Amino acid sequence: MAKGLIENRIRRLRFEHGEMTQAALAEAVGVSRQTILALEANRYSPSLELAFRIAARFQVPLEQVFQYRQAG
Amino acid sequence: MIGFSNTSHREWQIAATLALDLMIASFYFSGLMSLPAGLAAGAGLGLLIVKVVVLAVMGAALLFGLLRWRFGALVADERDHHIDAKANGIAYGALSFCIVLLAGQLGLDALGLSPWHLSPLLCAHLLLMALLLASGCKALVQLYLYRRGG
Repeated sequence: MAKGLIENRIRRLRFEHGEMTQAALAEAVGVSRQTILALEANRYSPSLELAFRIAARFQVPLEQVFQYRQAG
Repeated sequence: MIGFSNTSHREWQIAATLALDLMIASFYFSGLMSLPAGLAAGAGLGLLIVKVVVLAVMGAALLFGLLRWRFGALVADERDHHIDAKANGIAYGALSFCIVLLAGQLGLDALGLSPWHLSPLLCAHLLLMALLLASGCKALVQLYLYRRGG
C-alpha cells in the first residue's frame, strides 16, 4: 500500500496566535522545540495524543491542524 | 553543508557519545598492539583496561557535564523515543550479524574446517569490536534520523 503524507498548518496557526514561538508551543504541548521544527517541516508524523494536544492548544478541531494526503 | 548553530542538545550528546567511543576504542586497541608478547602481556593488559575505564569515566563526565552546563537537563519526548527505537533495532541487527559470524567461525574452527584459529582473548576482542560497531551504528542512525527526519 502506498504511504500517504500527513501535512499540517502548525506554522500558520502559530502566527495566527500572536506569533507564538516554536519554543512556546513546544513547552505548551510537552515536547522539544526540535520536534515542533520536524513537525512543521513534515519530517515527523506525531502520535494521536500529541496531535490532539496541539489542536487543543490552538483551540481548533484536529482536522484544521493536520490533513492526510493519500499517495497516488 | 552541516550547520552547527541549529544542532540540538540531543544531537550534540549523540555526537559526543560517538566521539568518546572512537577515542576509547583507538586508545585501547593502539595500547593493545604495543603490548609485549608473553607473560608480561597479562599484567600490561590489566593496566591498560584500568586506564581505559578511568579515561572513559573522566571523558564521559567531562563531555556530558559540559553539555549539561551549556544546554541544561535533557528531557526525551515521543520523537526521541521513536528515533531511539529505530536506532536500537539497527544496532541490534548489526550486533546479531557480527555474533552470528563469530559463532559460525568458532563452529567451523571446532569442526576443523576453518583455516583460522581464534584464541579466547581474540574472541573477546572481536566481541568488544562488535559492541563498539553496534554502538557506532546506533549513534550514526540517530544522527541521520534527527537531521533527515524520523
